[in-house]
Amino acid sequence: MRPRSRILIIAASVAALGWGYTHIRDDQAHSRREIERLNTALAQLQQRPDRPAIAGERPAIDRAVRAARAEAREQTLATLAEHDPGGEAQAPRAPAITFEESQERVRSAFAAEAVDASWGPGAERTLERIVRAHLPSGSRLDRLACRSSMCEVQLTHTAPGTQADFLRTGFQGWPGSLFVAEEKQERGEVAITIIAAREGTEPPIAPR
Amino acid sequence: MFARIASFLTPVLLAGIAGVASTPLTAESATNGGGVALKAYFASDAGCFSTYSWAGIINNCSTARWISTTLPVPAGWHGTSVSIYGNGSMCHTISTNGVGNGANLGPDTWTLAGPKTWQTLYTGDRYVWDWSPVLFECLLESGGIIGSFTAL
Repeated sequence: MRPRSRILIIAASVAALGWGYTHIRDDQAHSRREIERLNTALAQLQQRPDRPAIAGERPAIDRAVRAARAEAREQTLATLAEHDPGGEAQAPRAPAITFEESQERVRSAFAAEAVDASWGPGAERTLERIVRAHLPSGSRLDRLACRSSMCEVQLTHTAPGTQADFLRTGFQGWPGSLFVAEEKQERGEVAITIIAAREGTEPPIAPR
Repeated sequence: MFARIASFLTPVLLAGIAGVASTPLTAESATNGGGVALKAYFASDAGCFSTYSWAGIINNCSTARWISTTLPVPAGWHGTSVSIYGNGSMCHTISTNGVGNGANLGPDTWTLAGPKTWQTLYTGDRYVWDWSPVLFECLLESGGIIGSFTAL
């Protein structure tokens, strides 16, 4: 390399280093000015007269939150207590039973129940109207009978998965609870027995 | 002013402060969950719901949508209730038989007609079998809010 080229390379390198150093200095100075500006703004905010007011509002909000929480809790517990006057839900719980045992209990209870002439026939008409109005194509109502606190509904579904949707939507308008007392799958069909309880009662699924 | 704030916040704050997980309300342990734990029953409705306040859930769509959640409780009988804001919404509770099938379905319980208000719906007694949670399911109207749900 010729001496003149070397001198030119060295000069260019020195110029580049100088330019970079100047930029770094400028950045540092800019950062310092920003920090000073933020410190000034922070000091001004801390001196504003509304700070004590904001601090004073917090306990009021906390009080509202505490009161709301207490009220909501009272409402919920009062509603539950209203429907559990004997405190059964809070009494020591009876030994748990299996789902199959529950099915057996409910089927036996229905079989042993006498017919209440003042309720059974009317309930049968109402329930049959509700079920037939919602019965999907491919499903059929095989039997329906009401006694004194329960009705037994026997259905057959041929389309897969129909029974879950039907349980949700097929009894809309019936005022009592439902219990799946039996479910059998045979030759691609699902035969299901549902107990529909009288309004305000529950099937004897388990001891209280 | 204080009373108004309190009454407005009441239903959602129970769930919000108590938390979404099981929380003892009394020494006898009611189990409570926040409305925000409910999810759209149909995936296509997921965009309809958003968190309301701290732990409530609101239906922002123009029509009623199904929403549901489960609450793990010990085996036995449980009284169930839902804290809800509305005037045309319905809830019911279902206990499942261990493989996810509904086995004991409570009656549909509707909110009171009239102006939308916060109210506690009693959704009936459900018998819960071992290792089978109780399911809370609501048809939540447009603008309806669920604050919390409870099993005693």
